[in-house]
Amino acid sequence: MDLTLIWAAIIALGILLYVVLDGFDLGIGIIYPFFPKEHERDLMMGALAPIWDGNETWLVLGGAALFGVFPVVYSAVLSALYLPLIFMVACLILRGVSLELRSKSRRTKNLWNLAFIGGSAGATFFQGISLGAYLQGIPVRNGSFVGDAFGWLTPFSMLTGLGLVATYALLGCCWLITKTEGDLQRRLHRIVWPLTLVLLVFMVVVSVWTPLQQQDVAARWFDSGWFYRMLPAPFLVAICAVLMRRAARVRRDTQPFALALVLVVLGYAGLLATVWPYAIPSSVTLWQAAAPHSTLVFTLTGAAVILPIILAYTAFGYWVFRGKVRHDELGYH
Amino acid sequence: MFSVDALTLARIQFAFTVCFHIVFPALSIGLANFIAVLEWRWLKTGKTYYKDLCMYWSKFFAVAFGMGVVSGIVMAYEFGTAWAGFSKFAGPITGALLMYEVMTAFFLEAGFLGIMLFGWKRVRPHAHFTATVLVAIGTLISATWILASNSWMQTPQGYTIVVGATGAWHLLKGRRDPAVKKTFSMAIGLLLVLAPIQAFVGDQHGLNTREYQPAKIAAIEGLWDTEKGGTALNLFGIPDMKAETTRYAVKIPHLGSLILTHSWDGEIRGLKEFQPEDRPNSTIVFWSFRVMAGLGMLMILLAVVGWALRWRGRLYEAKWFHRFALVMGPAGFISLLAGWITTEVGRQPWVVYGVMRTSQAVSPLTTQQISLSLMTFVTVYLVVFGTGVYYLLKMIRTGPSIVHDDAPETGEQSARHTVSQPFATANR
Repeated sequence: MDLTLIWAAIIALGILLYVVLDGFDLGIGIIYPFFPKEHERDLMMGALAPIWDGNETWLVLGGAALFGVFPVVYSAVLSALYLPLIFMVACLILRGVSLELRSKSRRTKNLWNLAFIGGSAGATFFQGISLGAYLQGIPVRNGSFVGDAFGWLTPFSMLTGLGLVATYALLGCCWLITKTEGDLQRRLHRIVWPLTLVLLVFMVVVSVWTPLQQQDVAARWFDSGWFYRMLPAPFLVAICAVLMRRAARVRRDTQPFALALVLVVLGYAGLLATVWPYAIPSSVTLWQAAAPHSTLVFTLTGAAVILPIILAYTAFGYWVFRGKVRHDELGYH
Repeated sequence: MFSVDALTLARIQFAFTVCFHIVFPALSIGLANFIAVLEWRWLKTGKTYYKDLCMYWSKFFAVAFGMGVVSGIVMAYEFGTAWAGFSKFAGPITGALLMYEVMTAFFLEAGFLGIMLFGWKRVRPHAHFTATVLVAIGTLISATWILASNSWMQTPQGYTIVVGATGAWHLLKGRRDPAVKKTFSMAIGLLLVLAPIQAFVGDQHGLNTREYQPAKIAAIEGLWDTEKGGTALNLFGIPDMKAETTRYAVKIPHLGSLILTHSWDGEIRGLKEFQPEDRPNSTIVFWSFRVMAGLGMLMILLAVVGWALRWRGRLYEAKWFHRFALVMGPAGFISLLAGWITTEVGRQPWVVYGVMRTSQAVSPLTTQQISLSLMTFVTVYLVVFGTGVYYLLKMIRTGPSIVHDDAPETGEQSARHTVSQPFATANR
């Protein structure tokens, strides 16, 4: 059994879970400016309140798992992306605290609203920038980062930053549709299609730009069997888009979110296909980056037992808070 | 001479972010367990003030926990961003342990927190109680990991004493309702249980440190020469790193050996046995340790006096004692930070004792990068945690079970009453 591969798969799944869960979470903050009424904002925050801590814990697990299992990736990539990651966590702090304090404040309520919007959008943007910089490759020698301090700041990373903002906005909007009803839900349905369109544009541009700027990616995409295996993906994306348009028009409850999920998974699969088989694109492969065998065994033993339990009670938590959020259930009681 | 390099800045940044972070988990560990006890009492006795207290401290808990989560994300990423040398080297061990902590503790806490805070109407009382207990267990597991990763633990009483101070404040203000009385007496009772446990853990930690990090112990004690036939304890003094001596020392013969080796004339190695570049800064840790230990003693004193007063039935009337409890409010956190400083400064110049120096652990970053990030952190933390603490203090001032005095409100009006949220009234 190739433990490195198993771990890579677990981490890839963990990141996907994070992107979906904290994605809709942050996305609610991104579309927040379109809903200025305080009582609607109470509902939007109410949909988040019981679950956001858990969603963000996946980010902590991601960091810890990289630290333990792929220490080279953790140390080299994180020091290369020093500033964007610092800005990301600073934004996450602002937004996390605004979630708790908005309901407790009176005069400063608007400031916390702003912190929630800025924190959510900012955290997403810097996450997207980090993703773009990572995809472009990080210069590493002897396991240490040797590039420029501002190497992450490129037109491509700006693009992926905005692309991720669009992705999370769509996820957040679709999630809110499942949690709301009436007029608020109707207006949410109305912005689903524009958001989908924006996301599609970003997906196309990134898919065209990536092979153009990186020779080895282009070689992998077009030479081997990859091309034919990935060929269905654009068609699936197109089908999703058509279905999404219909679902928004006939105002379905959960279908938009399901479709948004499929879109995210397709995009994510494309990214994985681009990165494979590297742990740090174009410099370190997964096997070069892995921790010693004993650590892989030690951590995998625990993960195999505990992760399913975590997934089970996370699902239970979502099940407890299923259905629409209502005003009489907001607050801590 | 006085140039600030990237390493210094990285160290300042790490110390700054850690000090902010650990206060909140410390708060939530004690708080979650206290809430679990309150809820258990409520289920057992059916007395509403237990539930009111439960609700009140839950609000407090939510804020503290949220701050712990977000400042914890910083910690999870700071090792890689700023301390790449350390991460690459220690990842297979430290990273693996951190991962276990996340999987066993953080997820458990975060997973059931939602039900604990918002699930009152969604699940039955016993299921709710289970969720609360699981959150409390999660905090305890994380406490174990904190302990495993090498710090003096001052955590549980740190919180208990805040609860005690809250009770004392309202007693001084003249409130005598059951909620306030319960808050105060339960806090003092808990302190009576926790403080001796703390003393025991601290003692064990001392024995362990003497064995594995002898230079740290020598620095803490301000001990320069290895003395034969029993080492004295320096009660006070000012260790001078240059002159290799502790000035104005007030000594008690044999006490040092007695505490650290549990024998009358056990040997403790002095600082001179270590190369000057391998010595931690004794001036700092000597005092940070004494602040921690002194406050620990005062907390035990508070608990014992409180117990005596309660035994004589004067716990709710002795004003001087309430003032004492109020003043001791921040003691838990001060001693927590002092303990942390002792541990971390005492470990210098090593990041992994005897194996890797701090200067080898830092990432290849420029001074500008770290200055920028440090400024970001200082600004964000001061604004965010400043207001967070402000709201927590405001909550303390309002006190528990104020809901009894309020008429029920609807959600629309809730903006007016911010601290005494109206929602609890719906449950009565």
